[in-house]
Amino acid sequence: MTFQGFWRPDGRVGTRNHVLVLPLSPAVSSTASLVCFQVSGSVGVELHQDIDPGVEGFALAVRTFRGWIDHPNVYATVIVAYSADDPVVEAVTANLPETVRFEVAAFDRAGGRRKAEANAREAAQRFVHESQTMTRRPAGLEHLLLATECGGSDACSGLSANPSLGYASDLVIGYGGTSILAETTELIGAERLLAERAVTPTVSQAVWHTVSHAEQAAMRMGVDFRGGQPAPGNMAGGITTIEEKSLGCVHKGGSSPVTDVIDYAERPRTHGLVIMDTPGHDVMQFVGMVAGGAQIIVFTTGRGTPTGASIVPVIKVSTRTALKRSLPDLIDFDAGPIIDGFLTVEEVGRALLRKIIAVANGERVAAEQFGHREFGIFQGWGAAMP
Amino acid sequence: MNAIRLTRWREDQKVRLGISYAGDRALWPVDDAFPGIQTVASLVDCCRSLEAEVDTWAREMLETRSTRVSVPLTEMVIPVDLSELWACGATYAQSRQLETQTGHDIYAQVYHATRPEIFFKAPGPRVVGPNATVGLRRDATWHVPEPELTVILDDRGSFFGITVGNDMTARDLEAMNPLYLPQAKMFHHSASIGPSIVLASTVDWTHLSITLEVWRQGERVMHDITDTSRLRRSVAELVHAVQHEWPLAPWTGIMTGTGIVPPDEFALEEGDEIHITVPEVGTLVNVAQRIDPSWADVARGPTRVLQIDPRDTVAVSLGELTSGQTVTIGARLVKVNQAIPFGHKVALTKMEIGDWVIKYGERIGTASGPIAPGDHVHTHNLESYRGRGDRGNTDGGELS
Repeated sequence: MTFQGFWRPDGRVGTRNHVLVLPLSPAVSSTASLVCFQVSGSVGVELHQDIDPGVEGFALAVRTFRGWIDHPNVYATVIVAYSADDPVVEAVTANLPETVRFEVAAFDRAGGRRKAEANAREAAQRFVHESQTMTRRPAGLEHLLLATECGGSDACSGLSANPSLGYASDLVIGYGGTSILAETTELIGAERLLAERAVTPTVSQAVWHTVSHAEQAAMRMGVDFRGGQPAPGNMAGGITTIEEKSLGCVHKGGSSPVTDVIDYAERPRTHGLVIMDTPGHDVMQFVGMVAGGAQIIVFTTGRGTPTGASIVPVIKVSTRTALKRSLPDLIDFDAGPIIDGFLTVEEVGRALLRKIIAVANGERVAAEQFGHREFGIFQGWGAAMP
Repeated sequence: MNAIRLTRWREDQKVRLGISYAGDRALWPVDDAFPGIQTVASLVDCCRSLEAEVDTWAREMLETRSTRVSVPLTEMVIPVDLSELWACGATYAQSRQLETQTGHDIYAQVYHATRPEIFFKAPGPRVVGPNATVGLRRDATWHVPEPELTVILDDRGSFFGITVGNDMTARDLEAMNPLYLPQAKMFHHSASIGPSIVLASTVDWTHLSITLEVWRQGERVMHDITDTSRLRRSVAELVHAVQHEWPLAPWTGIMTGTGIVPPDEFALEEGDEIHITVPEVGTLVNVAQRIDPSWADVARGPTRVLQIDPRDTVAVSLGELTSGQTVTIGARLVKVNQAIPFGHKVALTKMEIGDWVIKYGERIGTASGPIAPGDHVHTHNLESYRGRGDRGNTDGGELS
């Protein structure tokens, strides 16, 4: 089984061929957005977080930015910064592989805001022009890194959308591909199931350790997860406890062996099912998985959500047909026939893999059509609420 | 020679009939001058009583009558009331080469054989026209439109005209086993034809382009083009194959097979707009819609209540349960004590405060109030054990 993608010099394959306009501080975010809107064919993000060598989680932020710049879906990046000598710029661009194409537009070096904007626009236009010479070529699924996510879980998440995503994920892994399972707070209560599937005792220990670390962080702060987990919307849908939510969520990892546990925004070192340590926050989670190199995200939902990553398509999967019907232009795929008893998890899982291939080949998802570009970086368990 | 089209449309709750040259937007409304002629069949009867050929008569009217109306595409309806619709397969080179992994040999065999593949598609009244919804089976995941030149035979079995047809197909069922072909082909609203009929004597149907486009949320997600010159079998051969052992019913349609098979990763989704264009006939537009229970179900079954794992002490309601209702869950009968909304849990066993509550075969928390079988189990009587900074439960990860 193959998809049609953009081959990069490092052997990875993109499902998109974007030119990314990336601001490195909130102060230059509006400039970057302006450039992005002016240059047809470029995409960007809005940055609201201060990134500073002094703050908690600086290393995570740097790794995240580097992962986005050195991403198979990105042809080239225009970095917008205030100062060319900014330590953030230095940390983000130092020792990137030679094949990674980027340019920095800095206010101070350009000689002001207008000139920096013009430089960024000129670079983005040039990159877009160059990127259009690339064409899609076939690639095996061993080149696919699938990211899984769920948000707005309802009582059907664990019965329809998540198990069918799990089945699709197992199929991708069966073809030699890789799948990321994340949302550490939503693994609480389900870690035994995952640890038992670990390929080595070390990986098994890492599963226990990662989940317990997130849980302990909350304990230290005296936080009762019940305030946020399950969320009020989850509860209205019939989910009562964090354990119940987790057991439904973990189905989206299918039944494949767990081959590794990696940190936020890290690139997987192995094929197969990989657990990434991320918070449950939807945007921070997919931003981390994108930084890890994921080229497709499948997001299951019982309530719907418009969010999307600018450089990676996010396929929204509804748990029930009623949701697909009420939000027809936000949901890309419906797992509801399982609840209605018409289709099995395996049948819907196979259909979802077909959808994944179609989107990998270039079919645009709802979040792309509406130009979603949400962005947020996890700052670590010491700093963040679950 | 200009091709002549017959078109029907809805106006003021009436269905009207018009004649035009292919490509002209304006129609001559037949029923204005001849109020009794509102259908193709009545037009044919009228011409017979005048001992005129339909094409000659239509051309004369178009040349001598000056009344014209323009009809919005969205008001067009099925151009002819058929009694039966038949369909053919494996009539284009390679159209099905990769149709199934186990079955592609049988498609190749049929393609080369003397006997064509013929199947019954739908009784006439079940065929839909332009702007109607076409169905997606609820028990299949991989539907494709099949755009086909469709032949219309009159009440004497003569080749009357051509139109565009959409032979909706569930490819997953077709690929599963050839014996499932009828289910892959016949379901609610699985056939549409239109928007117009072109008189057979006024068009060369052996050289028509057929274009398929599928639009999803305003974006074109699939397009392909073929030509009827690639059709391996003649129309006469296909008509003969249908009729030689089956005396034709008056006004029969025959779909002649598809020359376009979308790529394997393409599947229709609910809301997709399917546009099939043959320039001489016009564009047949239909919207895909999952078959709705209100169309097709004889009766909804009882509300399902699902026990996911045999060890579970709670089950999930996949419907709205009312107080006092008795439901079957696996082998047991449970009387429901309170109203339980969709997706919420119902207790299967008696649980005391502090007892584990089990779902998915795993602990999902402890009872915070006494629970009787049939009780609604939610935040009022069940709480998390894990993630509780307020209690300092740190042993919860070590489930035995």
